[in-house]
Amino acid sequence: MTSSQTQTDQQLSTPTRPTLVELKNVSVSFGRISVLKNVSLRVSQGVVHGIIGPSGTGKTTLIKIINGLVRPDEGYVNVLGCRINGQKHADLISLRHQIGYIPQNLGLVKILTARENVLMGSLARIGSLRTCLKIFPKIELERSDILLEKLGLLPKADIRVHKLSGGEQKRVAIARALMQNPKILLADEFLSDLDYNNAERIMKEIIKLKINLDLTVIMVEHNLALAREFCNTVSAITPEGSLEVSDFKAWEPKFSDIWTF
Amino acid sequence: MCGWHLDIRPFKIVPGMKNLFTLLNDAFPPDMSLFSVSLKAVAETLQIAYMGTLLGLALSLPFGILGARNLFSKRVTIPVRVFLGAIRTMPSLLWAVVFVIMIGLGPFAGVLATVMYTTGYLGKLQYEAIEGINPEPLEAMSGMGASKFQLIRFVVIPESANHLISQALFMFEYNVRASTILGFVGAGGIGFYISAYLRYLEYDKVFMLILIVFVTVLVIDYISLKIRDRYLMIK
Repeated sequence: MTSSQTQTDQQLSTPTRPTLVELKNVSVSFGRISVLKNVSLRVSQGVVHGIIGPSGTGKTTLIKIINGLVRPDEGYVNVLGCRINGQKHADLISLRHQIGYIPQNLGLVKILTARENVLMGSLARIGSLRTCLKIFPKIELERSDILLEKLGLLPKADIRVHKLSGGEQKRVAIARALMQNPKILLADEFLSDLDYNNAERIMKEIIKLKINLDLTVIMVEHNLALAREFCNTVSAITPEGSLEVSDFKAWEPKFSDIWTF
Repeated sequence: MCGWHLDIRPFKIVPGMKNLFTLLNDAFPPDMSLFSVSLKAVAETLQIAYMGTLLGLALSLPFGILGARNLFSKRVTIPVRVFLGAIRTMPSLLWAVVFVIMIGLGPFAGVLATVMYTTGYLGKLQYEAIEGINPEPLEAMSGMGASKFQLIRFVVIPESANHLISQALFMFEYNVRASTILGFVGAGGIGFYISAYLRYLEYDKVFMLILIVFVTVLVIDYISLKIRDRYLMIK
């Protein structure tokens, strides 16, 4: 880790930066099955926050709570100053416009091209009638091309997504999420099927874009090495609840012992 | 039990062969003088099937979307499914009787009958196809705050397009066959001629008409197979 990065980390962890996401004692069950129990989380603006934990502890559910796809049974959830508990559906939709979301399997529409998938991220800004005819404003087309270029995908912009490699599809999903111009980027274990080198390359691209766009990234990550290298703050989710990990290096051997990755 | 109830007695087939030979003797050779009339009649049948499928497809699509449980709540899907089930219960021939009574003899009644059955049938196939699409893109787009309309336009329709086109082609093939008998109740097409010549026991003319129907159905099946191969493979 370079000295400038350490300095940036120190700045990011200072309490003066506003909190964008705050969860207190959140619990969720699906029927009789308890998925999340007593989870608390605080994410400051501009950080890369990692969520780690063994399989089945509700990390994906936690991500879905943050963008309002799942409502908690108990606890307090505040995202971008908006209290999610009890919000109307329309309010949740306008909140989601500010949150980029990359699900575990990316959720790309395979029959559409890379550019069309990226343009999906601009739907919140464009009227439904215009988009119905796939007429996108010039500014949005330019923006999508800029993002595709930054992620090295411009030559493949007009290729249907199912023809792209796994790594390229992930870049399309990143570009689509950034096309929203989000304040927060939620990424759910989307690097899990890549080898370390490719995952590291994509993470470096995200970090570069994060700095340019003043983005806050919350990512579920199974790979502890990636979490250690790229996350400024980390929360561990366990069946008993959540744990803020202040000294990741001290905790890492314990995680490796307890969890099967 | 069923065999007894349905009076299934294979030995009745042997003496029945004599009647079949009499029929074939009367039917051969087919009356070629009816060729141009047959072509006109089969063209009308094809038009009934085409219009019925097209309008039925246009009507079934919104019903199919409203009936999909991964898009709408039970309060919407259940009434839509009941409605589609109700109109599917009656075959197109019975719908033709209803429309002939309602608007009179002619191909328009045949078109309306085909529309009704197509809507019921395609609507069901479509909501099943929509429910079978990959849920990930739906969730991803919902997570980004897309409206229901945007979800339908950019996820549901592209993801299920292959199924929808394939079902529409299948329905057209089915409607071509079904439309041939709509004329039996006065709803236009080649069925009207078949029924008339059957009544006068002119089997050579009937055979000519059936031959034309047979060739038409084979050609339609072949064309739709080619369309499937050409457009419905993801390339």
